[in-house]
Amino acid sequence: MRRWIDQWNAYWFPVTSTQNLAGARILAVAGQLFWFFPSLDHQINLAAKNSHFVDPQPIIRAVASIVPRDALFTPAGLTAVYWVTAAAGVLALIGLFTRTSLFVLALGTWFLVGHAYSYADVHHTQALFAIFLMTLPFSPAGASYSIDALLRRRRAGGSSGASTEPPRSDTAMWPLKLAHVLLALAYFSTGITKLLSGGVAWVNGYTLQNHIFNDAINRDIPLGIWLAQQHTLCILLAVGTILFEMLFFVSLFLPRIAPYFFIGGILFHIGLYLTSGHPFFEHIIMNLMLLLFLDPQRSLGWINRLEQLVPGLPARKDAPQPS
Amino acid sequence: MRQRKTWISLLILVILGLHALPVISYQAVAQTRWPFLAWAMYARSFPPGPIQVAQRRVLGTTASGSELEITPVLAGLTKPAFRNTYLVPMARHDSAAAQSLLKRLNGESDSIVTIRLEELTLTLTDSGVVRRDHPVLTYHVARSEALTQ
Repeated sequence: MRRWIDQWNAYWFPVTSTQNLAGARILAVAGQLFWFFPSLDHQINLAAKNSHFVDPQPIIRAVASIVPRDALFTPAGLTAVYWVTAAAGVLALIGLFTRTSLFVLALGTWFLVGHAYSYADVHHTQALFAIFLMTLPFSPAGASYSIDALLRRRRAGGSSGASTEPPRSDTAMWPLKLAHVLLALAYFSTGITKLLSGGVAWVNGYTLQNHIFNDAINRDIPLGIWLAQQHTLCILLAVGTILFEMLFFVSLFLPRIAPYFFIGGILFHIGLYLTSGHPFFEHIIMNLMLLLFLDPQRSLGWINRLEQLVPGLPARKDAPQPS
Repeated sequence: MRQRKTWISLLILVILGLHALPVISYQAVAQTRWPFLAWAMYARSFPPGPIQVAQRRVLGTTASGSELEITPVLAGLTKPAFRNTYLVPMARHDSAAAQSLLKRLNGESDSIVTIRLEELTLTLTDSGVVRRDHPVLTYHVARSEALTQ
């Protein structure tokens, strides 16, 4: 039992610099704010033209049990939630009142997405990213690269020679590791469902041609319409899709090859978007975030190599030593 | 410190455990456990055969004679919900779906008295995409409702 607990702690709670998590915070919050923030018009239109929720999501059921629908789910109420969430996002990005602002941003995002999905239409794109956002307030995501950190250093007497080493913590990696596990879980679940439900016929080429043709026509994507006519290419892409989805979890056990899976994930979702219009932008950000920040040694190594390319820069104290 | 790690460990286990819920209580497309979802996407396979897609649009005529396209935004739904709730049933000659759509739309002052469903099928062939138009289906507002306008 003791050994299991030690292994659990070693996996989820290694002592690392808080810089990686801070980098992930900045990337994730910037993505949420500037790339895939929920549309206010869409929210208001749904609330105004529906007298009731069709399939209310848990957060909406919870809120609606406290606040009446006609008090909060109105143009004024939704506008207020929207702007409070956006303001919290700006604070979370710069790292001011970081934990609180991250919590408000995550809660506001859950509310807005949950509301949009309470009218008989649910999609997967934001789910894992929303969970990741909700983990950040419970981690030292503002301990580096934040105004909070700057103020803390000043209060601690930065001018009187206090340590300039980046803070270290044993709770700075678990949100990233959880994002990795959730992605692996989701990809595996998607892949195994294809094989269990569709069978081997899923890779016959006709299946992917049908799916791509349907999406490309309805979303007016010429590249998708062209791809749907390439039977052999669709066989190869179907096999590639199943292999990627079923084997992504291997990256959990073989960290050295994990970056290739993350790069594969980014390309996979860009490809899905360009050919079928699937807007999994959150998954692109999550894969990019894991590529850049999951392994502190790897990202520091990259930074070090980049710095070596720039003549005249002093060597970093925290640069990884050759093993 | 140890207590904090214990709480975080419990949180991790809860988050992972909650993902089993939608799998156990599978709800098909009408999932109500967001953000904990079943990830069965595009799982259906297709045998060799015609590769086809249907495109549909709905046009409405108001009492004053003007025409407008009835879009998902106008109906206050998303595209997939609009398609599944109205377009597909109406294409199968389901007049109840048409009446339901008219009722939904007619909160406006200039009420819609007729809706027309236009449908076409696009088929992928060796020579390109072939288009086939279907007969237009027309639905009129129910008499009892018309009398109340």
